[in-house]
Amino acid sequence: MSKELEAIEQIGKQVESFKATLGEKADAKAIEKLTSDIETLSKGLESMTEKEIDKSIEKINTSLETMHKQVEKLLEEQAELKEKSGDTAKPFQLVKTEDVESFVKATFEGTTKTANKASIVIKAPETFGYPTFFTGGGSTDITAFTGRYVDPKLYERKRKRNLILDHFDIQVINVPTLIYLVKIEVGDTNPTSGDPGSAAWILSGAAKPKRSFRVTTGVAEAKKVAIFGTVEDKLLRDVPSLENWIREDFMDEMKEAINDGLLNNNPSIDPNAPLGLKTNAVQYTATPAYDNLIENPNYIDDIIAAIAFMAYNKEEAGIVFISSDVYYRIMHLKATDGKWLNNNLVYVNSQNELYIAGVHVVWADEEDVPSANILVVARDLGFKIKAYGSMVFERGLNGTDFREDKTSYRGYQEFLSYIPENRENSVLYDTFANIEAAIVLTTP
Amino acid sequence: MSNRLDNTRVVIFTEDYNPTGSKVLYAKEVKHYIHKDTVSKLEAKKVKLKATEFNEKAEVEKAKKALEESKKE
Repeated sequence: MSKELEAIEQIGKQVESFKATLGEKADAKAIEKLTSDIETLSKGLESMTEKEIDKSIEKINTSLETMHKQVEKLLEEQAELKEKSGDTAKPFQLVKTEDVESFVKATFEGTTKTANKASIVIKAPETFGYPTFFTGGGSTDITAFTGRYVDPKLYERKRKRNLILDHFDIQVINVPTLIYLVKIEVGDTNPTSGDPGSAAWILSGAAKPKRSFRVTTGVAEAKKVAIFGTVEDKLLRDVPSLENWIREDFMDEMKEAINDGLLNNNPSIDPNAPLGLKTNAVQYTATPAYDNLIENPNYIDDIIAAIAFMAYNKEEAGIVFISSDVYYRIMHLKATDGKWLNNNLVYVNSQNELYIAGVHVVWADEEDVPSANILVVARDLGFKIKAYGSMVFERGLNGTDFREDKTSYRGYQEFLSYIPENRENSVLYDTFANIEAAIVLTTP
Repeated sequence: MSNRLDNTRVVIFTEDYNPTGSKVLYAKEVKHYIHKDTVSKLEAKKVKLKATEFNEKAEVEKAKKALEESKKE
């Protein structure tokens, strides 16, 4: 076979391919004519003149070119329809079948292209933008296309400082009852009020002074703080972080309850909670050096007077708790001449810890120590706190949980607290007004 | 009764107590809980006030009732 005949055969195959692609949109007459032209050229290749061959080839090429453009256009239309196929609405038709048919009909008259006689107006491409790109309204989740980042932190209200758990040593014991021993100095003849006697200087050979004391016990029972909640299993399965959130929430709630009970509770009012630090705390009374002798007292004077009161009562102040409000008020107290009251008695160290007269001053939440109040605890604190076992958080099935696909959570811990009566001076809780009323210099 | 409650007096001032003229320490007609020694000194200064002993029983009952109410909520 000559090279020319091979080329004509390839052209024939191309026409068949176009015909298959265009399907129903193909112009049967035009294709038939084109096929016929190709066949004529193939058969008459040897008998036709060069001029006739050129003319025939030109005619075939023109028809092929037109058909190729049709195929390209059709493929574009199909791609566009495919993009819109996600929509539940009817597929959008850019060009209708009848438009293409009329276009092909008008474009080809016989084998001659008459493009000037027909046209199809194609809609101009729209701008891709948020308002139109995502269709389907609320049922379309845009983040499925854009992606999203979930901040793993669960934001919650900021909890207050925990005065008890942050500042007091709590030893863990393994029994629920605690007995503490108290020494009572009384005489051997009258066990309640007699003179216990004491050591004394004596003459050699003289009778030695008697000494006696008694002992007694105090008791503290463990009090339980607890919390409970039930969750559907499905929720636990679907929200993987939920159990951690429950744990943290239960722990935080219990810590707040522990702080509140061990700080404020009076067992006469709530016997289920332990003794609170403030309950048996002493009030301020003026010591001789302060007794209505301080001119225009301010917070610093009040705090030093409270420290002095503890020292006078043989206790050494360890921490002074005041509200955050008063804490910062102290920072800018000024003397009558306008100068800052920033002397060696009042200083802030490099860790922003305030010391007044060498005693650490700590700010507490307004709920625990209101702005009007001051709480001072001794370095060797008479108020003792023990925990009976560690804090527990555990899950289990409760009641109808198993039947109803639920899981229950519980948290609990037990505490004991006490202060021997002879160490009550180791905690002072009073108002600034009471201290100032006792120390203020008043003109007669 | 603890030392604290035994020594506390419930004081109501009939007029604001302002010993220096620059700061009211005790507002009038409000309950103040003051140590008995300080109350004695105020009384000695002829400060107009009415002091009563701390009624622990009544205060505890009141607080118990409030606690019960808060648990109902």
